Amino acid sequence: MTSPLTQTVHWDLTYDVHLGSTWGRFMQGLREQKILANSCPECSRTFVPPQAYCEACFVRTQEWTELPAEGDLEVFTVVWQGFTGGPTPPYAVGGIRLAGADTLLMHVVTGLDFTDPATVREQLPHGSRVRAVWAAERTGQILDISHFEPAG
Amino acid sequence: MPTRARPGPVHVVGLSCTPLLPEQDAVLDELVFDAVSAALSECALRKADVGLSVLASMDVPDGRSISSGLTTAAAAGYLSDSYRLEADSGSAVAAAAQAVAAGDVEVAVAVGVHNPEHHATDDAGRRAFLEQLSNLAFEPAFDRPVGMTAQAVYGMQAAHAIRASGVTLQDLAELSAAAITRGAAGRRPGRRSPVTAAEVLASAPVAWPLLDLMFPAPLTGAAAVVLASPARAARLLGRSAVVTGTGQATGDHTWTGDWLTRPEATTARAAADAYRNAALTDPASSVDVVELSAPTPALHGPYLRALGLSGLPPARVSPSGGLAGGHAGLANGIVRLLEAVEWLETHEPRGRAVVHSVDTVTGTVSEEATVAVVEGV
Repeated sequence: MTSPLTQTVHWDLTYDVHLGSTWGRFMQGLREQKILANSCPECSRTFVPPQAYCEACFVRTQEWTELPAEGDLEVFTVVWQGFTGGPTPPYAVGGIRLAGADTLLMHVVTGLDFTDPATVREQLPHGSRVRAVWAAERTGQILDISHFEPAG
Repeated sequence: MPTRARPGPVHVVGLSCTPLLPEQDAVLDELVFDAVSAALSECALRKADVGLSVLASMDVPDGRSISSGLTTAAAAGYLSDSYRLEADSGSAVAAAAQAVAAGDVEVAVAVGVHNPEHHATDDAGRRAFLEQLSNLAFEPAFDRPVGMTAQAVYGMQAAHAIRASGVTLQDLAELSAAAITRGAAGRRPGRRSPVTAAEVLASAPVAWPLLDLMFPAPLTGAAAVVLASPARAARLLGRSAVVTGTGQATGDHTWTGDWLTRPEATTARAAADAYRNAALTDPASSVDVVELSAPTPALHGPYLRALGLSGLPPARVSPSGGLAGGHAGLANGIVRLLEAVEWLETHEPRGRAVVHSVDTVTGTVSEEATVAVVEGV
C-alpha cells in the first residue's frame, strides 16, 4: 500500500486567557506562596481552585481563606505514554485534596521510583500526605507550584 | 413536577458507515458524503427529501476552522436546514430524532465523522496526537499546564476503581480480552486477532494501571443514519428499527471529583431521560442487548449499572466488542447504533436495544453521554 498523500499544516497561535477577578486573586496568591480558596455562602463547600460561583447553589462565592500547602493524595496515575509536545514520560499526575478543601486540585506528583511499574501503587498509597513545592520564580500561574512531593 | 408530552417514535430507515480504518486517504467531506449517500440509498431517498441534517465533527483534530462550509453539502444540507455539533454523533442522532418527533421535519439525517489529520504510522503515534488535542481541550489555567489528558483521567479513574470497588487488574484484563476477541470476529474489527487476559496484562503500560490493550484501537471514518416519521417510514424500504427514546447529559469539571468517584453519574442522567421518553420502566427485564461505549474496562461496570443493565448476560453487552475492538472518535455514537440495529435485525423476536455513547475528548471529565432506546420492528 502506498502512503497517503498529505500536506503539512501548522498553526502557531498565542492566547492571553482572561483570568477574571476570582482566578486572578488565586494566581496572585501563588506569587506570594499562598494557596487561596473561597467558599459558597449556602452550602459552605470550600473550593480550590476557587470558583466565582457555586455550581450547585448557583450563588456567588464569598469568603476567602488561605489553605495549608499540604493535603492528601486522593488518586494518581503514572503516564507511560504521553502526548506530543508534553512532558517526557514517565511522570505522575494526581488529584490532591488540600486540608480544608472540598475539591480536588490536579497537579504533578514526584517522589516515585518508576523502575518497576508494578510497585508504584505501594509507593504512594491512597491518602498519602503530599506538600506543594514552590517554583523559584513565580509569575502568577498554577506552575508557581512546581509540583507536589511526599510530605512524610 | 410539570408533566410533559412523550415524544413520538422515530424510525431508522437508513444506516451506513464507511470502512473504519486506522487512517483514511480521503478529505473530510468525502467521508461524510460516502456515509450519507449510502444511508440514503438504503431507503431510496434523495437529497431533496432531507429536511434537516446534523453533523457531528470536531475542527481541532480535523485541522480546520468552521468546517461547516466544507461538510454541509456532503451531509445533504446544501440549501436546506443543517447544523454541526462538536460532540459525539450520539448527540446528532438525538437532535435529529427530536426534530422528527416534534414534527418539524419528516426526514432527518445525522452523521458523524472522525479523521484526525495526523500522519502517524502506529497506534501509539495516533494516540499521542489525540492526547495532545485532549490536553488542549482541558481548562487552560489549571488543568492543561499540569498535563491533564483523557488517558491520565482514565488511568486515575481505574486506579480509584481498583482501590475503592474491589475490582482487580485481572478482572479488567479479562473484560478487555473478551471484548477484543468478540470484536475480532465482528464486522468492523479494529483489532483482528483474539487475545487472552495474559496478553492484555503483558501489553505496554500507558497510564497506570491501564495497559495498551485496555484502550481502544484508534479508528477513523464516518457513519450516518436517516430518520423518518412513522407516516413517511411506512412508505420506505430500508432498515426496520424505531428509536423510542433518547437522553443526553454532560458531566462536571475536575474539581468536583465526580469524574473520579461517580463516573457513571452522567450516563445515569442520560439513561433516566431516555427511559422516561421511551416509557421504559424496567430496563433490566425488557432490554435484550446493549451497545456500550466503555473507553476502558474500568468503566464497563459503572456504565452498565447506570443503565440498569448489570444483569444482562455478557454476550448481550456489546456483542460487537464495543470500544475495545476499535473507536472511531465522534463517529462512535452512530457506529454503536448501527451495531445494535444489525443485532436486532438478525434476532427473532426483534427485541429492544439500548445504545450508549460518550465523547472521549477529556475522559470522564466534562463527559457528554447519550443513551437511545431502539426497538426492532
